Amino acid sequence: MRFVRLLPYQRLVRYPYHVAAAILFALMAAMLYSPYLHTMPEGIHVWPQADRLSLAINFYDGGFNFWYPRTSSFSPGPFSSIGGVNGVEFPIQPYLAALCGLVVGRDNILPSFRLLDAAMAVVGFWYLFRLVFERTSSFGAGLLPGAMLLASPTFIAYAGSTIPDPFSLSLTFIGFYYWLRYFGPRQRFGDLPLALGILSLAALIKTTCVLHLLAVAGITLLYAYFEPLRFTTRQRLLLLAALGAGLGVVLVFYLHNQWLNSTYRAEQFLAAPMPVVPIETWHTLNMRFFDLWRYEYLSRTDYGILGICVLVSLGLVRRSWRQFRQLLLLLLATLGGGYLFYQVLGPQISIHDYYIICSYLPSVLLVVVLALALLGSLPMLQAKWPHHLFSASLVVLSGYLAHSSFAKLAGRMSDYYPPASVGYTHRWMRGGANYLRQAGVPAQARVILLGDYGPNTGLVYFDRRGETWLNWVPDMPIAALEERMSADSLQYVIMPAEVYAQFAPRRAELLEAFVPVLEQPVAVLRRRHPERRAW
Amino acid sequence: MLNLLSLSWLSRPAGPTPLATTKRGTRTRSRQLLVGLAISTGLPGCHYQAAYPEVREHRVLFNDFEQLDGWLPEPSSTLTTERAHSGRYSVMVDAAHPFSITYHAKLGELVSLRPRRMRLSAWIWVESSSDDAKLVFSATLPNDSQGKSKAYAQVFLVDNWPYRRWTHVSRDIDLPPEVSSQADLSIFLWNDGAPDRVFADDWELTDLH
Repeated sequence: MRFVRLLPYQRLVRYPYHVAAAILFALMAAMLYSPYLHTMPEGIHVWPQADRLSLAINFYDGGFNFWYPRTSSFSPGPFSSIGGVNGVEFPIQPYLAALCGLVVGRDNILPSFRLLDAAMAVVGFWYLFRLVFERTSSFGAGLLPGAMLLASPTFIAYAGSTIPDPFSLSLTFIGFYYWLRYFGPRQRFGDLPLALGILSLAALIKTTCVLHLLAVAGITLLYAYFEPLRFTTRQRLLLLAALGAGLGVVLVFYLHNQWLNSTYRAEQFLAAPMPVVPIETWHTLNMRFFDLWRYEYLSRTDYGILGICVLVSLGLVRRSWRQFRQLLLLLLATLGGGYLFYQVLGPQISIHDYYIICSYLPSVLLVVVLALALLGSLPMLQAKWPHHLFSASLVVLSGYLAHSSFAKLAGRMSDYYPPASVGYTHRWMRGGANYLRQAGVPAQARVILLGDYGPNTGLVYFDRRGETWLNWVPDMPIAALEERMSADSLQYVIMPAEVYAQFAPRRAELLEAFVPVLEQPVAVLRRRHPERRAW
Repeated sequence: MLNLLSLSWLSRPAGPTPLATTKRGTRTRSRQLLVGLAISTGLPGCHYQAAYPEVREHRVLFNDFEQLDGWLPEPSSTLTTERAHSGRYSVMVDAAHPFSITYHAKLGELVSLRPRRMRLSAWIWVESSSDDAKLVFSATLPNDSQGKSKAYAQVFLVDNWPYRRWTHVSRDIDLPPEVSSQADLSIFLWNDGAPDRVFADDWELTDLH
């Protein structure tokens, strides 16, 4: 059969549901994220958000050297780095955001970054739609997986942010789609290397996704072994080449990062396993799940839907083995990957909610996709009216989930979001870059920040390069501050007003070494004798 | 994308770009070319300039021992013309002269910012694997009883082969955050029981920042 190449408008007519879903998701994302496009890193885990944003800013400021990513912090430690150079997972998002800065201006790097991530989330939603719709012909069923993600506070908070996990998750779904499409009626071989390529990119951007690449590769190799006639010799070689190239690139980039971290004494991005401590890790994970993360990972409605989908998948497991074998195998493989992830990075999961995005959300979504595919294949739901009713009810449910995302994202972006917001330490930094501009602090001035613990958070907010003195304590001698600033040629010290107030008993001594430039709402002091070598 | 990843062309003036000069025949590639052209012709108009330089090694010290002879208070027995990697002179140690002439300086006289990682390198001539001589780097503060600012590293010369020819050796030295500008820095060649004569030339010390 010869496939006729369709012109764009012909595709619109031929695939109205696909187009409608794309428009719906794009509109949804536009409404959801547009109020926050210019918002600095906000909410839970500002630290890693700021780290990634600083990569983009420093790509722009530092000459776009992709292979030597830099952050704004060149602290001697903790979280040290010489010159801010750091090994970090394939930083294509910050690089693209920085490139956008060339066109739309440096001030719009952050909106570009958020827009890029949100756009990729939309693409991910759309491919989830395709995964379901092309198996059920139900528009509502196709919308549901994306809508469930929209109702996940953890996912939506980071999908429009700077963290790479949602970006990589979307790529994973795209990879899954093409891999599963190969096993569909057309059996187009080209889909397999395409899937492996996309999953390799996902694994480059977020190493966790290497689990999904291995899952897909493993199942494909099993098929090649148990069904010898499935692939020709040339196709087998092509598959192995694609897999080898994908894994090879991931490995080479990992080694490159290790080299960067070693050469530049960099430790700002986690690049080593943190294996579980039996019993303790599980206990901590349980505690944090119930008191903090449970309804951040997924909404209550999501959990209800997930429960039903698990029951449907278990109840119809024989049917799924007959009709959706690859989907079932993929689900089982990702569950296995989830267990492996727990073993390798278990202690981190209870601290960082976004760690579940690439490790466990694929399994969750695959259960939902499988259950919807199974339900869609039931004869009772294939009759005209039951089908419409099924689809319409899922449209309503998806609409409800999508609508709930506005309040959830607003909560995550707000100051009052207990219990997580109790630990927010970045409030005093808001407007920092403007304060410095008004105070006449040069854009190239190198600064040191007191009163925070994220290596790049304050530097991003104040839009300067320098250091954050993470283990600074108020009773340290002023000479120690001057010494550290002299050692790295830092000209200004920035601190919150309450920290500045702690210097009151030693004000005379402080003023011998520093000149106040700004005292409210944040304190900014300039070294009085920058020429003096104090280290 | 690979073209984009190496953006050395960003700062070029307007004109032909690498994207524009590559051969692309198919319609798809023509479309890519148009997009590439649109981007690349737009970018030079932005007058982009990096705000700060790249991190690289900066030379702190280099000595090929060519100028030392007349400056020393008396001819040094470890300065020799027997072999040299460059010029006429190199430094030699043997059983009779276990330590070479030593380079001394205050760290603060060499660098303005506190160094974190330095690299000591040299060209060396070693006769055999039993000549376990070392090039020694030491930075100490005289009144630092706890040795917090101390940095000490040896470049093991026999770990680099082939022997009996000039070979380049180097070692990265991580300095502790407490190291002071007043630290006494010394660099010397140490025979350390090597039975044969060992030569070194073109000593170089760099600072990464």
